[in-house]
Amino acid sequence: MIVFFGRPDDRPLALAIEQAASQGVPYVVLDQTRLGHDELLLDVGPDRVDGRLHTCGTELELGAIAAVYARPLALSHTRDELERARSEQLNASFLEWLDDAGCLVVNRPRAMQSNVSKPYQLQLVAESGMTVPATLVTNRPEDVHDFRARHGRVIYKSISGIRSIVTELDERTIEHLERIRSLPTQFQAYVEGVDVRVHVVGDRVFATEIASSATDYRYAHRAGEPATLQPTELPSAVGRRCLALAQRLELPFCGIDLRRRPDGAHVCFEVNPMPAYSYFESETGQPIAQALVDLLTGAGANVGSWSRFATT
Amino acid sequence: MTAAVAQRSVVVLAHAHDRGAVAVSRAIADRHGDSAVHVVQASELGRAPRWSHAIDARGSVTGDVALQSGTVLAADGIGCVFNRLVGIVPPAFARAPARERDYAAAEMHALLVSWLAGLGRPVINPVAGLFGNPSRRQWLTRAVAAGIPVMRDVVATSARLVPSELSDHIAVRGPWPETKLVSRQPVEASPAPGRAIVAVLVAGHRAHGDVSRAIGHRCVDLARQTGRSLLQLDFAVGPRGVRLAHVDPMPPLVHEHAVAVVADLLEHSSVRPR
Repeated sequence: MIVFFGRPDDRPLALAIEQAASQGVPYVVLDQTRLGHDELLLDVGPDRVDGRLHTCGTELELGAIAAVYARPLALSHTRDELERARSEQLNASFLEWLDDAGCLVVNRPRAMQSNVSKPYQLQLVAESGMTVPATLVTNRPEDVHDFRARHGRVIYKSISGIRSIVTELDERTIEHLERIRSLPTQFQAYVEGVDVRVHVVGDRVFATEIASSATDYRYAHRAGEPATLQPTELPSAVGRRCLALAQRLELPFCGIDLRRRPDGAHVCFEVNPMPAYSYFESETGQPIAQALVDLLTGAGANVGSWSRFATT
Repeated sequence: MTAAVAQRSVVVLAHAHDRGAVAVSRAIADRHGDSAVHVVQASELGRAPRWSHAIDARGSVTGDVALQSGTVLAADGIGCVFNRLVGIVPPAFARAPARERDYAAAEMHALLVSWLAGLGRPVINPVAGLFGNPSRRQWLTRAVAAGIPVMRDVVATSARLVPSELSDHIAVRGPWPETKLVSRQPVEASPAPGRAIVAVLVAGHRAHGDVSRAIGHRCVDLARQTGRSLLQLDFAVGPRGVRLAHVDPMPPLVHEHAVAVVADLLEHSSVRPR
């Protein structure tokens, strides 16, 4: 049995559920918008761990769950105190269980932590053989001026996983540089080229090229600059590095942000452990949801290697 | 340490009230002199006039942190780090609106994680520990996997799900805990460990404490499997033997022996100049 955990109004989760339904795969949805109606027992000790989940009219031994696709989002607010307390406890307990569950979990909450620190994740990315953008985190404007003099165009963005719009340091924004003295800020050398989003699903790799003139294509529409997506092929060495990176981060499913420079080399910016792949699938037709369900059902070629992480 | 660190020392990152960290620092200073250890408080890192943390295209990390005292923390001068911090709020944001303060704290936390990882020196406990401590129940789960007997710990969305033998230990975790309307209230059930506790301190490859050799080995295994080189495990002693009640990756270090053990661990972990 596969468990889909998250909000059904979250398109990436919904797409995976639709795919499982179309393939006739047995599944249940642990719906974060109605957890107050579900039941969970988690029983630890003295020498075993087990429990039961009751959702959608189905009662499951936790040990009978073969795989989980988890896209946990914030819980909905409810005025009913009891329902809220039950939802919060089920949510927290299920996330706790996912970290150490003996089944395939896509992805484990603790494995999603590396992007809590972007420069830390960048170090892990580089360990996998990827080129990364030259980066400086500092609270000294003079160091930023030196960095900009060395690299020419420079962008800045948050250090933490808190989402921020990548912005270029230009003549207007540089006037406010003194502000960084109270809080170190992350600067990166601007990388010329074409954005490529790579989705790794088990041992499958889907690469999408994004044509956009925006500094951050995710927000291109706000500037009235459309982004055009189309499938692309990666050089085999880059594809292998993407797979190695996903393994290194213990993420069976992830979105890797690359940029292909004019010289053909690829630079990696970051890895998203909870990728909103549905946007890419709807624009390109790449069968990412199918690959995901294949991974969850064991039809993916290298499920075994991902299941290894269940015991680490 | 002076304007630049003259020799590799143990850097202890700790909050001002952390007596265990201070005791370990004193133990190292007593053995090797004041220059062998440097205690840095969270507030010093938060108001450091220079943070410079650079990563090049191949992932090589350079940079340093200059403190207001004039001390410069750089990889060349650091043998290892004993990290007792879980976060830093930059003093400039201490009175900022909650949203700005939380953002600043998240940014400083992210920088601390990357800086420690980029030092290329042993960090005790490891950087991954900064991503949040596992809950008690998660520690017990991992201990079970390591073959360690643990105290029973149950969480349930309704009291009726709790096994009957634990019914005397149910604690309501939902609203109105003073009422008896527990049938659909979320609960936890875990017998109290009692007074007889044996503490085991894992430091590196050794377990210190009055438990069997087999249990000691499993404690070391648990520490290794969870990427920790320092872990305190508290066992309840009962008629059926010892059972793990609590795990602390940041033990208080109130006893002299524990302080000495941790000082030894830091000495042995420290990277020496070539």
